[in-house]
Amino acid sequence: MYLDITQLPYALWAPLLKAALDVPQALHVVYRAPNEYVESDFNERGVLFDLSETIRGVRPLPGFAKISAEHEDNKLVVPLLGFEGNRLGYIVETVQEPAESVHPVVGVPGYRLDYPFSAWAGNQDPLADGFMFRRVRFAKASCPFSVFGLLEDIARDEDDPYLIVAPIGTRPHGVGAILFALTNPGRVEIVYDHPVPREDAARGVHRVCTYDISGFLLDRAADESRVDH
Amino acid sequence: MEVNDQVEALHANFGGVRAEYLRHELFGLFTRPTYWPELLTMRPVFLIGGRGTGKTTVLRGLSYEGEAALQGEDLDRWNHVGVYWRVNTNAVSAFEQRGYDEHKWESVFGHYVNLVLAEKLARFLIWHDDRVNAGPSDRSACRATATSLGLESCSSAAALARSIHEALLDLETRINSSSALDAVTLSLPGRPLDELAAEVSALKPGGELPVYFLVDEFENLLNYQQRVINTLVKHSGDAAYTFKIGVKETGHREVGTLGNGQAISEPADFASVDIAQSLRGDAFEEFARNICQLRLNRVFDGAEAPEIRALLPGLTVDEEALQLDGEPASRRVIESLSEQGASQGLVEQVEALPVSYVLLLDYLARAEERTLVDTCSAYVGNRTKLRNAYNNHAYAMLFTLGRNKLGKKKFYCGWGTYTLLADGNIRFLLELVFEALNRHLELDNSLEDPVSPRTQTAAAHSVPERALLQLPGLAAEGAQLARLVLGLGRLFQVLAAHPEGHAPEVNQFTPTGNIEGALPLLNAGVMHIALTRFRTDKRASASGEVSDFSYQLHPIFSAYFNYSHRRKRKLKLRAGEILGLGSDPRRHLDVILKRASRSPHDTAASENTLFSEVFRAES
Repeated sequence: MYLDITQLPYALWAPLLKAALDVPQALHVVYRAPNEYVESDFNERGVLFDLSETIRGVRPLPGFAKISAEHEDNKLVVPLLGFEGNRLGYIVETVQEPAESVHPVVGVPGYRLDYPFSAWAGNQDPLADGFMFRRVRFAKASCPFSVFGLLEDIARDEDDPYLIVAPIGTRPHGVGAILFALTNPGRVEIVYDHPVPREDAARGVHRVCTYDISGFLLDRAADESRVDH
Repeated sequence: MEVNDQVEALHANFGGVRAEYLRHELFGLFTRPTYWPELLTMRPVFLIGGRGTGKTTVLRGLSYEGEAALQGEDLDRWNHVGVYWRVNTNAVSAFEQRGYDEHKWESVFGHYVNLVLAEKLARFLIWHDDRVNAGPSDRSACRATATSLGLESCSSAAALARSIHEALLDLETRINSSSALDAVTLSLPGRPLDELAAEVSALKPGGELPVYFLVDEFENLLNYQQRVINTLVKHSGDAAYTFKIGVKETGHREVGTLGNGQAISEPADFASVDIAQSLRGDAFEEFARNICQLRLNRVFDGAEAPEIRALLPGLTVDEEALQLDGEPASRRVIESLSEQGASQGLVEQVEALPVSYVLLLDYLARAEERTLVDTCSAYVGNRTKLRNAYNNHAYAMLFTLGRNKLGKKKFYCGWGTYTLLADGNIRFLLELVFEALNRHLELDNSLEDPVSPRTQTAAAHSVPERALLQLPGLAAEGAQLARLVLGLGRLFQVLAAHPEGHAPEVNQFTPTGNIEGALPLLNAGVMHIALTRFRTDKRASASGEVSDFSYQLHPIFSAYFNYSHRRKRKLKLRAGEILGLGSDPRRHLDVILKRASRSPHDTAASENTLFSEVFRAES
């Protein structure tokens, strides 16, 4: 079973991924990374306005609502950053957790050498809030499993926090976040802002990636089983 | 105290300006606002204020954690028991669609509110029992509440809290899966809270301890959800509890209730406290001074701290004119006067005037389209006329100094100016003070010495820039709002730089035409502190008509765009022009300025990136 998430909105592919994991067939996720983004969309501080107009606002992805976390007191926010700093600002404003609880993740290595710098530049203003930039972590931009591992590390390092993960960066990072939420249902909340992508924001195909989701989850289960024994 | 120590202490005490960020520090820095007594009655209150006006701090101060920190843990000293609930957008927006109509969601959400508020009361009881060393108490109210919520019977607060949490998990699972919500046993709005609130109320020996449900960020509720809370507010008069609700201005969108749709109204059902109105003028100045002085004292950690007002000195108009290269400019005016054939006596009289007066005479000559000689003759011999002109035009004249060049611009300095720029918004004021003091320290100065006007002005530029950068991320309309701010700011900047022959200090606008279309943008602007609004016609204040309102950019933006922060004069803007500024400010600005007999090319735009990006073609 192959799920191509390239063009699907998060509100569609995330519940599809959740449902597909209940089907007893091997699941692969496919993503075609664009060859280039229209540079001015993210390269300058002043043009961040162009993309934020399309944010519909925070509401849960279907199947990922959280209404029972009112009394969680060890909350950590992990925004998986893209190029648009306004989206990070909006997420931080919405979740209203202290800046010292925010641990942003930048995609490094990026699809291209310069992308991490663009991500950093695009997010520089919200990252300055409460020295958030000091807590930035890195995960390979094209790899859902890399971000999955990083989320595990953060959860372990920070003494089993309640994680609020905002997948506002690369789609593979989004897949990693959704997988992590599905495997840790009580301790992870997904916060998503539902932007409407501009049609001309990306061009061409840089690389087609296929992710063996079932294989990863089986390996992980086997590892955990070994640890248990 | 070493400068490095001061830097660290400054960040620790002024750096965190949000209640959410301060956590345990919040109550140590708590200062009661003047409207505090209005909140301490059984009457439901909507506490209205924009982002940064201190709603969350006040509501948290009213919570039982706040009471314990501020009054001590002895219930005898308490006025009430407050439980705080911040409306979480990601949670409440789960209660819609999925094939159910709004009527069904009203019932489900009403039950959810019961669960959340009852759990909070149960947690207070646990907290209380721990404090009085009573251990878990057998409470009949917990049994009644559980039954009312459709839960298995439980006799202690801890068991009730656990049971409610499980009910929330069950509801969450149903919302996330295809299992039917119809199978959930729903409670009536408010019913399960009655007995539990009565139990809490009876905890105070020999007195009553009413429960305050402190609901923050009410604007995050969907419209039907606001009706659910309105219903609880309307019926709270008969119970041992009441509501204190924090909401951003324009965020209380629904006044209806459930059932027969009766509206809640003021003053019958609730009172409103508008923070900006309550803290206008001296009240805000005093409130802000107390807060800043408290933090400054902590920076000095026991050593004698300077007075905050003394740290931030202002400039008189004359001092400011001198700082803006007024001396050479006034010499040129006097030379020009001589060249135009003025008598030696008149030249000497003008020479004897302070610099700002000389520059004012030049300004008046241009404004009245008269020769400099005629103008000086008319004013210098008549001191009353000159003083009146000075009072009316000297401040506006300062904006014309250096208007066609980048670099030196109008100063924004002084404690009084800072409080006016903040306009009742304590977060803006704390940011201004922090920025000014931090920049002062970065220049190797000490906090024992006053901050220079230039450093204060630089701080007054940076705070609105950050606010502008944050706007796109604050709301779905954020990008439109940011462009509207840039457009309006540029408009008032050009008007301020060329006031001659026009009304000075124009910095407000009244929408005209079909304003319904522009209202969502204007309301979002007010909600997110890009704009402030006020009644145009005080006699019409009771009508509630939207057309009664005029608007201005929040005064914090005046320093960024270089126009007067003082509330002065209005111009009319058509609804289409307001929307146009939100979508394409450059094009619509040209039209508006043309109508006001100005050109954007007359005034150099600011050097900053945001400005040049939007107005690139202009220059």
